Amino acid sequence: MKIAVVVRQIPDLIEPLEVDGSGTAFDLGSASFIVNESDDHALEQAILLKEAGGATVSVVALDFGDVDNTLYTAAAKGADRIIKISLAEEMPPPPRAAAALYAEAIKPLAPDLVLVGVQAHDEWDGGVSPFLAAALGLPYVGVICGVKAGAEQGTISVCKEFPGAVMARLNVKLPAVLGIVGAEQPPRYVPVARVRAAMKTARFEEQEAATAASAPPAGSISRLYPPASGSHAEMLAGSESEIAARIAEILAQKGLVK
Amino acid sequence: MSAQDVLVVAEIQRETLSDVTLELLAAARGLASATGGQVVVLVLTADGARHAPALAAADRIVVVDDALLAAYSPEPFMAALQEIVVAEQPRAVLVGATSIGWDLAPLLAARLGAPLVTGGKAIQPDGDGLRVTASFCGGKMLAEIQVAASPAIVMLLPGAYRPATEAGKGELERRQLAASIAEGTVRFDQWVLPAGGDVDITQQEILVAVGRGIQQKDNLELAEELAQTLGGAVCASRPVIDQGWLPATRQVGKSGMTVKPRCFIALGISGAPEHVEGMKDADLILAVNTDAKAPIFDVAHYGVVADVLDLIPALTEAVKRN
Amino acid sequence: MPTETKFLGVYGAVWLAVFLVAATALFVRRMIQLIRILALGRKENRLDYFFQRLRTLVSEVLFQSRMLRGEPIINWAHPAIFWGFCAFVVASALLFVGGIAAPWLWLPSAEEIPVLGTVIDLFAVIVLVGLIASSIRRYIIRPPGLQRTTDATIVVSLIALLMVTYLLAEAGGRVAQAMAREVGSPQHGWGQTWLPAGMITARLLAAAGMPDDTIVHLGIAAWWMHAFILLFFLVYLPSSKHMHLLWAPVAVFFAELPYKGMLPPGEEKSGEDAGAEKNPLARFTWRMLLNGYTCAECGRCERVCPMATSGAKLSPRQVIHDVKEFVLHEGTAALRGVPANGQRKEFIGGTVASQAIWGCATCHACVDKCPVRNEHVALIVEMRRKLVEEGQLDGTLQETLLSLQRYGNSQSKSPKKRFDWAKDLPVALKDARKEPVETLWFLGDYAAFHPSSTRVSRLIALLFQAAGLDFGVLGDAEQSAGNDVRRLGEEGLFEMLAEKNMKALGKAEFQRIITTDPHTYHTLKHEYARFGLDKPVLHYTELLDGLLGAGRLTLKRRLEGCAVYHDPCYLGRYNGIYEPPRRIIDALGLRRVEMPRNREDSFCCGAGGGKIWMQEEEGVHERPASLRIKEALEMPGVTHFVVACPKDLGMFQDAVKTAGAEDRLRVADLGELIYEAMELSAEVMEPTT
Repeated sequence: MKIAVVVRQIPDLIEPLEVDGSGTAFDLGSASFIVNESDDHALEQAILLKEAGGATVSVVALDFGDVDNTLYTAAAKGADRIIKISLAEEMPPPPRAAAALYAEAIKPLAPDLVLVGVQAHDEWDGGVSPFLAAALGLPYVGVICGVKAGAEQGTISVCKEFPGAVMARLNVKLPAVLGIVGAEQPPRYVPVARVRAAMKTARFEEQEAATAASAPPAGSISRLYPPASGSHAEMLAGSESEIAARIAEILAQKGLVK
Repeated sequence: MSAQDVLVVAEIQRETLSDVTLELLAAARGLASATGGQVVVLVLTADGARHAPALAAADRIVVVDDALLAAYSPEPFMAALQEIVVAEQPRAVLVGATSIGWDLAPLLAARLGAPLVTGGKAIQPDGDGLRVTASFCGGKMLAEIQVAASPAIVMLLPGAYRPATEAGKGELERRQLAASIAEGTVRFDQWVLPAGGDVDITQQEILVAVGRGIQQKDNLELAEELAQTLGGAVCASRPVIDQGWLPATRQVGKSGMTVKPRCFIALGISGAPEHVEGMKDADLILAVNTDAKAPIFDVAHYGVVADVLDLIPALTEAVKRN
Repeated sequence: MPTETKFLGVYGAVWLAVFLVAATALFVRRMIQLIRILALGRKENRLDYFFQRLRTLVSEVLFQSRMLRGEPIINWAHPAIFWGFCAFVVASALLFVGGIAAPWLWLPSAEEIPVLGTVIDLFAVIVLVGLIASSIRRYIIRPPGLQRTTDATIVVSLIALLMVTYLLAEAGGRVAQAMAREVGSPQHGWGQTWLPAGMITARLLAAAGMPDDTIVHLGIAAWWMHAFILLFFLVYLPSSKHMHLLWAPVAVFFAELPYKGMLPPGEEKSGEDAGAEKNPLARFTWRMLLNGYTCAECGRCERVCPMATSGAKLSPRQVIHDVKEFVLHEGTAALRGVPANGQRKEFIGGTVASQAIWGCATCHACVDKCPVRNEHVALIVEMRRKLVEEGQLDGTLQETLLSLQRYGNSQSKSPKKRFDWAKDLPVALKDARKEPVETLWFLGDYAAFHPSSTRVSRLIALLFQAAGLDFGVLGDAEQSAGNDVRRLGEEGLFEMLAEKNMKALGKAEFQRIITTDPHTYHTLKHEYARFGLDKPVLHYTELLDGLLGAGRLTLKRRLEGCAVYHDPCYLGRYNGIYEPPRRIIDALGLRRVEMPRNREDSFCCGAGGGKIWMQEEEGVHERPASLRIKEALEMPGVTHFVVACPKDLGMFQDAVKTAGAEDRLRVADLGELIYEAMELSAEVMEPTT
């Protein structure tokens, strides 16, 4: 089975994101980037399938931010091919437009299965995964929390997450694109020494991005701002025992304490 | 359907109409009354007409009945949805930001070349187009997005609107699925339900919720004691469930349970939107967190900046004394 | 000489020679095999510091220094047995040489040499007394962890028999000489050496009614028995599990020098993972494998281990025992060229349970107490390296390591927040990257982020400023020094952190480094030299002790109370710094008393080795920190539990809370106590955020 995985870098929210002068976009120059969590799960799922039964895994990523570190880590985890798409501009296009770039790199791989994280927190115009599927002309299902080989040849069995800790098991005929929210197991830890070893042996294939495809009819952001905290909790202060007593009082007032 | 109508895609899961559908209808009503159009709801399922009474807030209830739609399968659902939208050309298509919605809305947008906005919290007409207030970056950012073209597809966050109460015209229409629509390559096999025999947190009056701030599995005991003293149950946010410290049936949030207890005590929970979605309607919300800027304090009624490991025992004591 | 008799037509001397050669050959063959097994391990240079090694060998083996300072009864019994052993080596040499030469050349045996004969004679009794005492300890008192193995029982019994046979042979020899004198036969020997024990044995036998002839014959039989037991020992010891006799001197010579807690660099990996096929001993260094040979299973390590004491699965003794079995089994198979058996149970993580491997707090009490210088900590860290390579880490540990990789701290906080604790100081901290300073203050994660420790950091900053110290910090470029990361087995991450820190330090100008965190102290002081750090590193207690001594800190009031000082593992036991913190406590006016386990015997709080990041272990009946607090609470009148480590502060404050003793015992850092005694402005005590 040939598997392709898209791995994205997104701004790290550990520091508050700054809005630039125009007030309509992020000031990404000062942001640090980390790998998108659900893409990490997608990669893990691909590696698990490889370990279960001889698949090959190709990883595709846009070349910006700390992507090299992420890609060496992917190589250390067992990715067979790593394709970096170099961008014409410094910053990547919005998610929906990026889907076209990924599609272009993935098409020649003719994969049986494409795994992408189902969401990234910087997507406001739709997740990359379904648009990638549309661009590749492949069937798509998302919010997938586990992939296993299917009963028949050329199929896989997946779990789709629903609220209430409920899951739907679906059978998927390959080729297909899946939007991953979780893998069968949490992403494995790769020791730094192995990533560094991969830095010496792994080779990336670099590709030029397509000349900007016609911009999809997205909307445009007219204003970007942090939410004003409308309501806020009444904060209780004092010593532990004072606060505890106050809370017990509140509970009693509401008739909640028997 | 005219170019002023607003189409809502009803969400049906395991034979039940999801709450979010009624919220979408409310949003649609707000939009349609401004544009002078109708609120149309599309029901894709087998024997969909039985949901009609619940959808009385819509003006037109379009039921597409077909065995192929009995269980969720993206391709026939997509095909049916696309057919309707292409034929009717509404101004906007509203879909819930749910498991099914996340499949259908983007695929529809791709097929139609239509604009798509996710994470919607509020939607208004804006000239010939729409203005959507969208939330992203884990709820830490809001964007005002202008969408010009029609139809525009908007995914609304569950809980962004209150469920519709006003009745609409409620006219029922039945449609057939086009013969050309075939079974998809993604097929429903079965539902996998969480192991039963555990506490049903959606039925509890008092919930003591734990998050990362609990630090160690052993500290769950403290929460258990507090819950017992209050006559409630322990539940948790996703990180705690992911660690395996509590069964999945105790998870509160987007992929867990939605709870509406009389009292919800959030201990060491930051308040990420996926979690808040599951508990924001509780009558009384108390939050304890070491980070004064934690988003949970925007949802809570009362807040304490403290270490939960210190406060829980003190609180249990205080309640016992009363 | 008994060997002048002929047996089956051949002189006894010839028989003796033949058996001696055979026994020696078997001994040598086995020793070579054991050495070849050690050679299967990877290299580690232990030939440096040659004279220091010799001194250690003389002190600890010859003069039995660790034993003499150790547990009761055995602290005299073992030296007695050992010195007796040394004496008997001389006696045995004379026995064999004299015995083999006897038909053709007379050479004196030990009992015929003045002074030497007396010494050995007395030692026979001393050794017997020692054996009786140690047997009472071993079989009746039964210290926990002491393994009463069959091998040990055999050895004890045989040594006793050696002593008895020696006394019987002496008795027989004396009676024979007396008989020969009576008939005027020529006597060999240099006159009557004074052999009190031998003489008493002879008299006892006579008093029991044994005729002289019988005593003589008994003595000859005893002589032969003695010789053959010696030969048996020669063959038996290197094939038994009781090899410590042979290997202890070797292990002590190759002790960890020049500082405690040395860890070899990680195994060099070739590109491909040859993994399963290669020899499983290869990841351990020969010195680690030697631990298996040297262990006498005395259980001292287990008795002092804070984790074993608290009920955790880890027993350092069991780990070494498992290594012993593993080395002998796998090593023998590897030498025979037997291929690896796929069904074999995994050693690291299987035979030695993962839980035990992760259980170690790296406090070094075991290594410190081991009389044969076993290095349990280095072994466990090596095993952790394998678990890390395979990604066998629990979720929270993984998160912590990823946080260290991404943000340089274990707290998943932005590096820009590392000095948030200093934001509201009236005088801002200097950035050592922007202006040269005399002293660079390296914070460490816990002093920078953990709530109770940041409060202390603030007070210490004010203290330093009041003392006129010229100091600065590295700002958001400072990363965790990596002590716990290294001891978790993530060597690559440690190197990465060290490289980043060195880069930041390279941008700063300073003469020396201080830190409040003993873990940081130990790593910067000893493990950063290889990355190029060549500035002196001090713990802040050393600095403050100096400042107090020089009168640069004015104490305005005496503190009231009775204080115990808890020696942090990485400051005390690892680095020998015991007195400066104590001098400070005394200078503050507190009445200082010592807990039973103090200085090098200090009882670890259980946070080290990355344990502070791990989930708590099941089966622990009482956490180490709680056990330690109990020790303090049992001392009447103690009001202050004084610490000098940010991790200790948090751990012991929690333990005091758990014990419900907050109104009785205050856990306080030395820095905050000095601050209180200086009566600096009270405004800046509490944080605004």
